[in-house]
Order: sequence, then structure tokens, then C-alpha cells
Amino acid sequence: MSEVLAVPVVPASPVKIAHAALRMQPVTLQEAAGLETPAYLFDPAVVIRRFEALRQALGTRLVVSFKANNLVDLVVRCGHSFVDGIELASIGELGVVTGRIAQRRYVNNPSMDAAFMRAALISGCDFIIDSVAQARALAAQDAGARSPRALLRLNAAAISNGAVGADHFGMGEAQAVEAAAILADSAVQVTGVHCFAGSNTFLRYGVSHAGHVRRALDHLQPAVAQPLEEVNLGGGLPMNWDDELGQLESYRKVISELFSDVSVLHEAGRAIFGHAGVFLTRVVAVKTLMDRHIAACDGGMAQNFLLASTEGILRLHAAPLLLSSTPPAASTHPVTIQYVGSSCNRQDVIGHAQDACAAPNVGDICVFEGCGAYNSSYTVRDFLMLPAARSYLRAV
Amino acid sequence: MSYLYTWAQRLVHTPYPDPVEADAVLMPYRTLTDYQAAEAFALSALPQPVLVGYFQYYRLLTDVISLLQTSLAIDGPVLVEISRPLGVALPIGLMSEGVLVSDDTDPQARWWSHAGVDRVVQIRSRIRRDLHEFGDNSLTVVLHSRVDASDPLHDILRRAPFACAFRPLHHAAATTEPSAAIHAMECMQ
Repeated sequence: MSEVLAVPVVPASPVKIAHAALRMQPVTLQEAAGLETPAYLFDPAVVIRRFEALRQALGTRLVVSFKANNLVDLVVRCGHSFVDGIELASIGELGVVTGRIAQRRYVNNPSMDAAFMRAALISGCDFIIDSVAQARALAAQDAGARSPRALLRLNAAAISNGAVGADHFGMGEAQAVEAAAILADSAVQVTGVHCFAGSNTFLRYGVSHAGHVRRALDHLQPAVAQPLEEVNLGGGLPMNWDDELGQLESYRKVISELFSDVSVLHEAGRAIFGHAGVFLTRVVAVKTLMDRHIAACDGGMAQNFLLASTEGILRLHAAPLLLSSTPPAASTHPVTIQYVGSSCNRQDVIGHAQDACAAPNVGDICVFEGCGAYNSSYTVRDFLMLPAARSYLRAV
Repeated sequence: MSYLYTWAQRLVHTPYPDPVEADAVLMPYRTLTDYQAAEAFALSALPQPVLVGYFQYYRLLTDVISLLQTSLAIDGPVLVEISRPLGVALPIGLMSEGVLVSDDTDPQARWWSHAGVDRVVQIRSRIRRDLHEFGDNSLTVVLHSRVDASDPLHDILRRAPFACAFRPLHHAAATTEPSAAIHAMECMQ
């Protein structure tokens, strides 16, 4: 048996962690008052519980997508529980994790340069090979005494005849065979395949995606010299996966039947971190414009880009919870509040409350929930040289 | 007659309930080969999680020292054994008169025990602050005393606000034989 299959797989069992334990306890005014804003507050205990619960629900190994939350301190507090390893997309992420995590580290980036590849190789990472060219570059590396492992990344649309949305990641089957042949002449062990159907695709495509990967695996195995013992199905799980446990139960049965002969992995980022963090910003000025109350905050899209909701077709802003030390002046009629950030960008609108009872006061603290994944790591920080958000951790 | 009292406990959760600002330190990679060297720090078996960062770690040590200094008439030094003083600036409580920080306090403890002072305190920390550190999250406080015929350490530390974050490592007992207790502490590491 290879080292890959020797890794223990979680026995299939229902999720035994209470739903409430998978969400952060509400932030209190006393807790928030001690934090300098703008700030993120993360709860490592929630991260660990969500990881363990999702691993149980899937019944497979579960790799943590580091890009979703790259705060060093969260790795330090939670790293011992990430038993199946971490996926890394840059040499910067590799630098955070190397020396801290002995579990498997998967490097995955279509544009991996020579320095990243070399650093990953000599620090014992596994590779997810995106292209024939990348296979050739890895094969050309002097591996010394090492035998790095590699998964061949398949393009989800290419192996499903376009059943899922097209993207630019991975290879078609013929290219994967070519990449495997190149790596077969090197020190690299090809151990399996990786295929990701895209963010938030799990509920819609999860089962069919698994079927497409199974068929691709069956096509590939006779054509490649190496035994393909490991399948990484990606993730695409929603942040609220714990509201869909019935669907996860069905999915788990499908997976166990389809892949009884190989070791299965999934990856998750927002599903683990999303509900383990909140964003806090203080109201620093209020005014009224026509029928709107405007609350200008000390943090906005420069600290939490996703709150501005600029990437979707519809801009759906979240309504923050307001923590106030002064009693609000109740309005005689419902009011509309627009929460805006600290930049001069007119897109810097981070929150919206319709039919609120009262306008906020200067000094109130806005708490945006569900900001544990990508909200910090997917934020461009240099515009206007505004201060970065501080990061705090709850006790564990 | 001299007495030796030992309070040996393991940290099982964060000793302070309030949120703490992130303070982990990035490794200073300069060349690609540093990644290979750093890999050796990662521990494959991790018996104890990291429960505190550097700031909370030093806050805890300062609180222990302050509590002992105000509760006991310590005429010898408080000897504090810590490794790798990294991360944040050492708090003033660790730099004050009457506190000696070292990576090995046993020689000082032996010297002061024979120097005629009534009480010398030795604090040995094996609390992990980062994943690349060894340690079993233990904190051991040893009182070398010429005047205490019953254990004052247990009562003082049991009532401390941070005590609820600890669980006993073993049943510490008073002894008049210092070397046995020191040996027991060594075995715990």
C-alpha cells in the first residue's frame, strides 16, 4: 500500500457537532469596545469545529484552502487539527506554513514560477500539476533524494463536455496523459488526479462532478504508467453547508460508492473559515442625503473588499449588527441606512439596512458576520494607503 | 531545614477571555534553502495545541511573578526559565529588579538556595507560542524555602484568576530533597 492510501480516512458518520457550535457566539459591546477598528475578529475554536464537522459530513480527507484565510495566528492555533494538510497557492503562503505544518502541503498555481516550485520541492510539498509545461518544469528539477508526489489537475468543463462552467485551470485527458508520461521519467510520483468545478458549485454540481471525475479516472488509468490512487474533488462548498446536511449525506453515499478503490480528498476554504470571523468598523460620521441616512465608517472596501459586493451582477449589501453605547433616538418611521467605507471610491458602500428603527450614532460599532473567509485575504490594500484592518483572536 | 514546593500544571485553554491581537511572527526567509531548513521545525506529532501567542504568554508570566512577589516575602530572586524571547518586547515585569530570566535556571536556583536567603522561586515554562516550538504547555513553579513548613504555593496559585486555565500535571508534594523535585521536572519535559 502506498503512503497516500495509508492516511486514515474518516469513517462515514453523521455530523455530531451541534449546529450552534459551528457559528461564532455574537460579539458583545464589551468585547467589541476593547478592539481597535477596523478589525477582524476570528474564533479559532469555531474554525476547528467546522473543519472537524465538515470532515465528518464528507467522510473523506479534507484539505484546507489557505487562501481563504492566511492569518498566521489562525494557522498557529488551528494547524494541529488540519490533519489532512493545506493547499497553498504562492511562495508567500508556503513561507507561512513551512516549519509549522508537518501535514501534507499541496502547492497549486498555474503560473508557479521557478522559485516557488523549488521552494516547494525542497520543503517537501505535493504538487498539483496544471499543465504539460508545468509537468515538464517539475520533471526538470533536481529532486535529490526526494520523490515528490503530484496530482494531475483536470479541467472540470473539459472532462464533462461543458456540463460545468468553463475556466482556465487544469488539463484535458490527453494532456494529462502527456504530463503523466513526462513525470514518469523523473523522480516525481504521480499519485492521482485533482479536479475542481468552481466556487459555490457543490450543491448544484457536486454529484455530477464526482461522476465525471470517476469516468475521467477510468479513462486515464490505462493510459498512464502510475497507479492513480488519490482523487481530489476540490470543494466549491457553500459557507452555509451546515444547513444542507441532508444533501451532504446523499453526496457522501455517492462518493463512497464511486470511489471505493481510491482515496478521496476535498478542499474547503469558506466552508471552514466563513462563519469563524466577523468584521468590525466604527461609525465616524453620520449625515442625511435625501431619504437615506449615511453612516461613514472607519473601515470599508480597503479592509474588506467583498463587503462592497462589486463582483456580482446584483450588489447585495449585508446589514450589520449595531453595537451602541448610547441609546438610539427612535425614529417615528422606518429609516434606510447606507454604510460607507473610508475611501473616496464611490463603490465603497459596505452595508445597507432597510426599515431600520433608528439611525446610527457616531461611535457605534458595526459588526458584519460571516467575514472569516476571503474578506481579508481578497482585499486590495494599497489604495489611499489606508490602514489595514487589525486581526484579533478569541480565546481557545 | 529547607523545603521545596512544586506547582506543576498544564495549560489547557487560553488563560484570558478577552480577544488578543494577532502577533505571530513570520520566519525570515532569505534564500530558497531556508525553506528546506525550516521544514525540520514542523513537528509531526503535536501533543499540545498552541493556546497563547507571545503577548498572552508574557502577560501570563508577568501575572505569575507579580502574584508571587505580592503574596510571598521573596528575598531571593524569581528565576524565570524561558526559551527564545521572540515576538514582542519583554514586559517590564520580566526586566525588573528581583527577576532573572535565563534559559537554564537550575544553577542559579542551587546557588541561591545555599546563599542563605529564605525564599527563592523558580518558574519553568514549556508553553508553546507557535507551532514550530517544542513544549508540552506545562508551567512549573518551584519554591525553595527555609521558612515555610507547609505549602504556600498551592493556595496562592489556586486562587489566581488564570488558575482555571490549568490542570495538574502530577500531584506535587513537599519534599526536603531538592534534587528529586528537579529530576521530576526534567522528566516532564
